[in-house]
Amino acid sequence: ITGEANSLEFLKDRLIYKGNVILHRDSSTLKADEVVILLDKENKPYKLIAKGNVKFRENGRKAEAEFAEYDLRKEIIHLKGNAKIEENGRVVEADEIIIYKREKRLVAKGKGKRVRTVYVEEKK
Amino acid sequence: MIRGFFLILLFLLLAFFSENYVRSLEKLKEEITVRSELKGVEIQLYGEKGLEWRIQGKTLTYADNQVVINEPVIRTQDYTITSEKLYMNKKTRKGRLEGNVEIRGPNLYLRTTNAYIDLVKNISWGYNELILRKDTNVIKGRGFKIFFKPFKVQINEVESIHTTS
Repeated sequence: ITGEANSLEFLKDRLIYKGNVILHRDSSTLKADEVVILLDKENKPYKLIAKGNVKFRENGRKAEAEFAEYDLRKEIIHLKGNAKIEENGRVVEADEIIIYKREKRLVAKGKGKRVRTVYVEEKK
Repeated sequence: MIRGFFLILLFLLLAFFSENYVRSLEKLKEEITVRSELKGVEIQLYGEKGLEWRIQGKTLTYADNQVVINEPVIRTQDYTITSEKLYMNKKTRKGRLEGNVEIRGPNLYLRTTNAYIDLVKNISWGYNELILRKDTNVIKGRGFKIFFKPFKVQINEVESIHTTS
């Protein structure tokens, strides 16, 4: 993971990036107002917690939300608050969206409002 | 005519004695400065909870309120700060670390060119470029602030690399 931000706070078990945060990991990019990186006992990152204007890009997939948690070990991304995903012309909007990257599976949950999905038909 | 002669003589004597007096004062001042240079120094600073900071150095020069320590090694709890020189105000316990400033702690290493330190507030800060390593995490920035109790580091204009696996 490489990162840029206006400032960073380094505590014993975490790093808190603040202000125009941009993190890159392989082909994915995470942008947010604030990102907390949780460190394990060997000071290796195992989870990212992003807050505020969260934007996630990866191989043509675009995701947005107010809040996101990325489990780096299980490769699971949990989007919360006006979550939206766009991929290959298909759009999913819900209160919560969970992306299981390894299984290539996505679960959308609507709490206050219903899940909304938009498919774009291919021209014949 | 004779009176004038005596007046001139008196004036010359006065000038001669005052010049000697001023020269002796200067010599005295020089001596004071030289006598206050100590070698192989250790200073221990105590706070409410006992020993807070320990400062060792190769030489210490002391003049008025300013203490200058060559090759200081400053320790508090698990952290050690070194640099080429430390200029510290004895009264305020604030100081300036100059040249190759390095801060080491439990799997943590920070390096910058110059920094400041406040031994009362237990903080160190700087405005120059820095690099910080914590195991496999490498962070570059410009401007930092370290709180030693409890430990926390703030870095500005950050560029970082973290190894996950």
